[in-house]
Amino acid sequence: MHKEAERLNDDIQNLLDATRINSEGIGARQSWIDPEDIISGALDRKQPLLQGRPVTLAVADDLPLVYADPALMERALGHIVENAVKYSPTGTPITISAQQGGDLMTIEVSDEGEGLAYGESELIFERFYRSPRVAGKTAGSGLGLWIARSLIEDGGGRIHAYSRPAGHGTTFRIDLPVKSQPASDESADD
Amino acid sequence: MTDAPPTVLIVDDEPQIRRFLKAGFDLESFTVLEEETGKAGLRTATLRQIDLIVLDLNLPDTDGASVVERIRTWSTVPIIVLSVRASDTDKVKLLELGADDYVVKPFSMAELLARARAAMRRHARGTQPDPVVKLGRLAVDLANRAVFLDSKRIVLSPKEYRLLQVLAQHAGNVVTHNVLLKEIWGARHLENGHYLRILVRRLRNKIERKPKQPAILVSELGVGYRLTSGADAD
Repeated sequence: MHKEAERLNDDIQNLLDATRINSEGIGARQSWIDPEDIISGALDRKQPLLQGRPVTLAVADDLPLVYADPALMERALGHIVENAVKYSPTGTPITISAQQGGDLMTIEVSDEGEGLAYGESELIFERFYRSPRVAGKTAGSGLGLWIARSLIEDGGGRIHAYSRPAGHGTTFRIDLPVKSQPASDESADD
Repeated sequence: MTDAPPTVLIVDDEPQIRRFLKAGFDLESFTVLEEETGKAGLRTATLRQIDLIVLDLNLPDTDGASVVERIRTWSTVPIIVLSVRASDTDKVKLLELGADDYVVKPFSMAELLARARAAMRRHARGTQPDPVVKLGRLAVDLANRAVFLDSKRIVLSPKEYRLLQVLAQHAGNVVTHNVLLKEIWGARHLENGHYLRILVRRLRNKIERKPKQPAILVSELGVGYRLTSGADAD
């Protein structure tokens, strides 16, 4: 009952977010944030869903700070994590990695689900899209990935999904621009 | 402190939420008072001896921020705000107006009680902080400016210690980015939020078992940081 209420609450929040994105724009409030906080925030937010699910983190040391809206990035990543949990078998691991490559910070979320069907890698980001293989079996608003992409692209980032050979899971890759790092605190050790 | 059960004032216009909160606080032996509007809440807060206020952010007659602001003109009673999740700006404003903490709907009673107890403990201490704040494997000896991890003393830079000190003084409750920036670098550096992000990372490397999955110094994204006992980690 409580879980059902929370799911309904999530669906309503997704609808509200989607309406806001469409009508008012996203209204990002950007600041320098630690990508590790985005990852741990998203995992924390999705903790009730992750119960018992092994999560492997492969986060590089000394990641750069990113200039983004912390709440929106956390929500976007939360949608991706939720998607991974929903569409992979109970008990299989979710892997989250983060690393810098040139002027991009990349966060990848991988699951060990069925993988995407041919042609679905773009369709899944469309509003209200539900894969015929899961519609009716798994609850969902069909909005989470659309919201995630809207939030990430609004912040100058990109997201795409790809599957390894059939039956070997899906990876969502988020690329965020890395700007010149802000001047450091000269007196940090004082 | 007397042995009388503490009194909590719940200000929320949703009967279901009030019923849920009342049941939870009853179980913890609180005396529970309920009001549906900000105006009625303010009146009760002035007329009765209250130990804790749980205040909904969205009230029908007035916004939670103005209720917090009014109460803070005469009282330091702990105030925990109930908020919806899409309003980080409001949360920061409420904390800076003097609310002690917030929980986001839907919340668990255990989470609310933990926040409430932390705020009530700090209020009961008044201006005299506990000499030693213990959080799981971490102990902060505020009187001697010493920090211990698994009973071994660790060395922190003065700014790392200052960060830990401010958070330890509010252990269990969130402290906003602006408050931390002001306390560590001064009011001229409120725009330099990245100083804080980098300092937090350095401190986590010294006090967390897994700095990338912090269990003690946790981030409330868009709002601030909180020291926890790390009990629910791992």
